[in-house]
Order: sequence, then structure tokens, then C-alpha cells
Amino acid sequence: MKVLIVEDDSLLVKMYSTKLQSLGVEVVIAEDGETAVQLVKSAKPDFVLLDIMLPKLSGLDALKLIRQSAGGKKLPVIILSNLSNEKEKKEAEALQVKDYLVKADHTPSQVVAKIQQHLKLT
Amino acid sequence: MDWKNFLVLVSIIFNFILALVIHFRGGRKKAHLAFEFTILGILGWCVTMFFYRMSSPESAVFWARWLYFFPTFIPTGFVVFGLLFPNHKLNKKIFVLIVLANLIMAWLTLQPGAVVIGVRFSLGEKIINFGWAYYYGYIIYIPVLFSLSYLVLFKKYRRESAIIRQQILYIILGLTGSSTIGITTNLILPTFGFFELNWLGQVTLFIWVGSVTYAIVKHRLMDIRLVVARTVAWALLVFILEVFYTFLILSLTRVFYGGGMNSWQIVLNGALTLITAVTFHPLRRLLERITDSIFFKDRYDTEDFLKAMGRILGSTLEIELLANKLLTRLLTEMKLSHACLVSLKGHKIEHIFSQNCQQGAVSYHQIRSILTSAQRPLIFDELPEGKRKNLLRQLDIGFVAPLRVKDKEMGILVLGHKLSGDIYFDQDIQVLSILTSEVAVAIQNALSYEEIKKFSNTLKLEVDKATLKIKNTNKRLKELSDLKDEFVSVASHEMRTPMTIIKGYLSMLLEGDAGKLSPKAKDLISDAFEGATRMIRLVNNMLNVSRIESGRISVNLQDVQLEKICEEVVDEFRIEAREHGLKLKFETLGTNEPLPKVRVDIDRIREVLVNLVANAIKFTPHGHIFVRCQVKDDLLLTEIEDTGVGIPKEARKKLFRKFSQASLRDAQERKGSGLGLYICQLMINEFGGKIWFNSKVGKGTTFFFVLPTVKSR
Repeated sequence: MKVLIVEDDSLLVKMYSTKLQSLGVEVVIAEDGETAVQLVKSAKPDFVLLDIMLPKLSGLDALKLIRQSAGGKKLPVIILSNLSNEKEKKEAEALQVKDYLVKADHTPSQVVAKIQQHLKLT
Repeated sequence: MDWKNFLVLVSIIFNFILALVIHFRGGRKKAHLAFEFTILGILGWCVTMFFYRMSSPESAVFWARWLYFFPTFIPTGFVVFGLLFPNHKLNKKIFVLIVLANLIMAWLTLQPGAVVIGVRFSLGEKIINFGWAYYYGYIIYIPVLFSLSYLVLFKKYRRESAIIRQQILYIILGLTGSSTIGITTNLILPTFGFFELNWLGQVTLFIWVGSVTYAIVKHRLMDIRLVVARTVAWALLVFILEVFYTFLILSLTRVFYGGGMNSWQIVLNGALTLITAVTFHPLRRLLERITDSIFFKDRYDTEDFLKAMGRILGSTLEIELLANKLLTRLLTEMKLSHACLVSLKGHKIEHIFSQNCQQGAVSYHQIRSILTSAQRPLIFDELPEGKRKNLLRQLDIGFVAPLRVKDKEMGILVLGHKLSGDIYFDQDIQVLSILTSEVAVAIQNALSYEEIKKFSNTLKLEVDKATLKIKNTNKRLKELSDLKDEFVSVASHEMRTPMTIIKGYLSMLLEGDAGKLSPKAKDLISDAFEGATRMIRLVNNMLNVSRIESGRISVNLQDVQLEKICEEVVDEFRIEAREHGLKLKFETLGTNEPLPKVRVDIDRIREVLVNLVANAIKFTPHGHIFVRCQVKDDLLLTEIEDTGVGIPKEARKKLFRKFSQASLRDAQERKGSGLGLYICQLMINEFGGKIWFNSKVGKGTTFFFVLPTVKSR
């Protein structure tokens, strides 16, 4: 089990990775959109936690590229962002994300619970 | 025929002409009729005197009676004239009384043995024997009626204005002159048996005729100037024809027949008469034109003039154009030296329009001051000497009239003198009086129009100015509003990240990620976690309000199993409730089956429930909080019941308003933005539902909201 965390805030990266690693999950980290696209190809994660506001390439633009790449079409993705505008939500929906979570509204364990919920379903 | 009789004859002719003149005037007015009647009486008197003096002993009595018959009408005519002049109004009682006395006296004069008994001849002079009616009636009747006519005319003289006074004065002068001599020679002297001077009465009538004629020409008594002119033309024509005709007849008779008349002469006369008749009309026309050019240099057609003026007045509402057209027309038609129109606004002079006028505004103020007392126009020639006349003389003004509309002063019309040097005739004054009232109305209209135009311009400017201001303000407000929304959006995003970090790590601590915590540490960290959660809710609410108010909120409607959301929210609050020592429970009532779905935005309805449960926890020190769902008819009813402090009565009405808090003290104690319930109501309404509450202070509060079920839609 390998989860790609795409997040530029180091404190958040540490928080989510700590929680996931404590549950025995392997964690790959990308701090910008471009790296995320590359890592999807090279690291082949099973699940992606994707932020939107990112340096170089935004989360949604990165996801578009990921969806176009060979292994990225069906990759389960949860958007984890503090943006809560309808615009981003709709865009994310069109890119077949599993969920759109507002970071502030969810504790790390709640996020993990969502990941588990979606992995169980698939 | 002796020379005395000849003089009487001349007197007859002059009186006849005067009678004609008065008659041709038309006699439409009552005073003119009375005057005509008087002259006819005088004429009758003259004619009978002529015949009486020529009469044989056989017919003398007959003529003598008629000689005393006619004079009875003369004083009657005068009295009636005096009563009527110049207003043509009559006291009917006095009129009937005088006419009755006149008729009785006239009837008596024709009765044998009443006034005139007989006529005897003595030394070639006729002596009349008078009867009882003469002594007891006639010699009283005549002087009394004459006195009465003096009295009436004198009264009128004192009351009337200058020009009428002049007219009355000439009439009185003529009347005095001829009547005193007439009464002396025909009444007083005969009473004492002295008849020799009785012809003098008729002859002195020249005084009368002369003075009246003078009054006519100089002071347009009864407006018979025109007739005088015509009569003069006519008299001249008759005279010339007479001379021409006589000369022709006499000379031709002498040349062809050497005197004496025969049938040829009669035929010739006929032919000559024919020539006369043929040449009469063109000659008359020529002479009329000549006399017209002398008497009426400045004549104009009243009707045409007024029509033209009416057209000018009706043609425009621009006061300047109106005034200039009007004045130009007045100057050319009436041939005046100058004319000026002043329009007033209250006591101020608004405009001065002038043609050849020299006066300044000060003069017009002076004119205005003398006009305020005058209701009618002031005419220089008619004014008595005094301050007003002096002012008009000084300013070279012939006519000045106030322009009034219903007693409101609109302006002044000032006219100079006629270029011909003539006075203003009755025709002019009548025309001008019609004109002034029309001009006054026209000026009022023009001024109103001007005012409306000015007002509408000012209004337009003001409106434009205000509109621009509003536009700018709106623009600025929109900028500010956009800025605020952007700020709230960015700020909330930026605030959410650190809050996520705090909340996340605290949750991990509580979950034992850093090892087992002591109960004391767990308690403290729970409080910190609650604080962080509350902070996040506040940010969410602020963000929502900002979205709602900028109209940027879009709802993503889905068919939702509401009881599941309720369960999730209650689960989220379980830790917080336990921390507060509260019992938190969710249940569905009435059925074990899944409840019907509702069509809502899942994130928003979650926010509503979060707000309501958070509120319940906040305001409940101890006891329980129950969240229940049940179906009521076609609606899904959700209730959140607590055993809290309750909502004070004074706060209930305002509870759903923005930034409302139960009370300031509560706000300080409990902390909260006052946005939660506002958002709840907006959302529930948006989903077609309704939210309300029941509350008892000290016992608790229950919030209810209903949403239409999907089935019922």
C-alpha cells in the first residue's frame, strides 16, 4: 500500500505522513504539481492525496496530466484542500476524484478513514 | 323774408347737420339716443319758430301751439342725457317720472285755451295770449327741468375723469349760453308781453351747436369724429355741385335762350342733372380720400389689427420673440414714437423690451408706482395736471397700462405719442385695452414657460449630477465589496491552513499518536481541540456569509438521506459533548425503514446541522441534546432539542438576523460570531424548507426545520 501525498506545507506533510506511516502505509511525497505527475509515473502509488494550491503546477492541472498518463486513468484521488469554492469542486468532480475534503474540517484520522473507505469499495 | 328769419333758417340747417351727425353715429347707445332726441326737439323748435314768424293771422295760433310743444322735449332730453352720460346706465324711476311730466306738458301745449289761447297782431308783431297752463305749468316746467339737467351734469362733471369732464364742460357751456337766452327771450319776456326778441333764442343756439362740435372734434365726444369728417366731405360736395350746377344752368340758359325757361331748358336741365349724378360718386370718393388723409393719417382696421396681434401672441412662447414682434407691430400700425414692454416678477423687473425707448429700469419703477393705484390705463391727454401727468410728460409717455392677470402684475405696456401728434382716440384705447389683457396672459404664459424650461434644465443637470455621483458611489461600493469578498476568501483560506495543522496535531495527540496521555493532559488537549474546531467553524461561517451576500454561492443539489448526515454530525460532536458532560443522541422516530430523501446541498445541510448542534452544546451547561428526524405528511422534520439556558424573549424576534446574539453578555460569555443561525435560515429557505424554534428560559430550546421530501416534489 503506497499513498502519494501532494502537499507543499511541510507541517501538513509531516502530519499526514506520520498518521499514515503509524498505520503501516508507505508514503511518497511531492511538494509541487510537476513532481506529483512524475511520481505517479515513477513511484506508482495506490492512492493520491492531492492539494490544489501548489507551486509550479496546480493540483487540478497536475491531475489532468495524471489522468492522461498511462497509469493515471483510474488512480483513486482524494482532493485535500482548504479551498471550498464550487468552481474547484466542480472541476475536481469532472476529473473523477473520489472525494473533495476540506482540510480544516477533517482530522488526519478522518482523512485516513476516507482513504480506507474508498479503497475498500474498489 | 327778413334777416331774423334767415338767421333762424341757418340755425335750422346747422342743427339739422348736427342731428344728422349724431344720427349717423348709429345711435346705438342710450346716451346718444337721448342727445339725438334733444337735438330733434331743438330742431322742431327752430322750424316752428320759422313758420310761426312767417305765418298769416289765420295759421298763427296753430304754429304758436307747436312752438311751445317742441321745447318741452329739450330739457327732458338733456336730463336723460345727463343721467346716461357717459355710462349709459339709467335710474328707471326718475326716467319714467320725467317722461310722464314731459308728455303731460306736451299734450297741454296742443290743447286750445291751455297754454296758448290766441295770437293777436300789434304793430307788425305777434302777441300771444297765454292760458292757465302756461302760468301754472309751463313757466315752472321748463326752468325746473333745465335746472335738473344742470344738476345732473354738474354731478357727473365732478365725478368723472379729465377727458369726460372737458366734454361735459363744453356741453354745459353751450347749454348755459343758449338756454339762458332762450328762456329769457321765449319764456320770461313773453310772460311780460314782450315778444320782439323771441327769434334770438333759436339764433343763439349757435353757441350750443358750436360748443358741442368743438367737444366732438377736440375731445371725441361720442366718437363722431368719423361722421364729422364724412359730413364735411358731404357738405363740400353739395356746395361744389350747387355752384357748378347753377353756373352751368345760368350760363347755358343765357347763351342759348337769352333768359327765360322753356321745355328745352327742362330737357337740358334733366341732362345736366344726369351728368351731375354721374360725376357725383367719383367726386365724392376723391374728396373722401382727401379728407381721410387729413383726418385719419394713422387709421388702421381694428379687427385686422387685433387679429394680427392675436396671431403674434399665439405664435410663440419665447418671451423675447413675443415682445419684439408685438412692439414692432404696435409701432407700425399705430405710428407711435416708441413702445416698451416690461415684464415683472413679483416686485422686480424681469425683462425690458424696448423699441426706441430711452428709459432705464428706474423710470419703470416710477411708472409702476403710479400704476399700482390705477386699474385702467393712464392716457397722458386724459390725465389731470399733477404728479402723474408730470412724470409721463418727463418720460415722454402718451399711454401706459398695467398688464394684469387676476390682479397679479405681469408687466407694463408703455407707449410714446403718436407721430402725427394726434391724441389716442377711443378706437385706440379700446384696441389697447383688449390688447393689454391679451398681452398680460401671453406674458404670464411665456414667463411660466421660461420658468418651466429653466426648472427642467436645472432638474436635468441635478439628475445627471446625482446619477453620476450614484454611479461613482456604486462603482466604488462594488470595488469595496469585491475587495472584501476577496479578502475574506483569501484570509479564510490562509487561516484554514494553520488551523488544520493545530487541529490535526491535537487530534493525533488525543488519539495516542504520541503515546498514552494522562487523563489530565487528555482533558486539556481536548479543550484546545475544541477551541481549534470552533475557530474553523467561525471561519467557515464568515466565508459562507460573504459568498451568500456577494451572490456567489451556488448550491449543488442532491437527493440526500438526511438521517445519515445527522448521524455523522452527531458522531463528530460526540467527543465535544462528552467533554461538556452532556448526553448527545440521534434517533429517527416512527419507523425503522430509511426515511424519504430530501433534495439539498450536502455540504450546506451539514453546515446547518453543525451550527445547530454546536449552538446547543454551547448554550447547554448540563443535561442532554437530542437530534431527531421524522416524517410529517410530505415533509421531513428535524429537531435539535437541548436542556440549555433558553432564549430570552427580547432576543427571539431578532434571532435569525445577521450578527444577532441572544445578548451581549452571552456573546462575551459564550463567544460566537452571530452568523450561524443567519446562515441556517438562508440555507433552509433555499432548499424550500422552514426553520423555527420553541424555547423556555431556564428549561431549554428546540430548533425545528422541515424540508420537502423528494417523493412530494
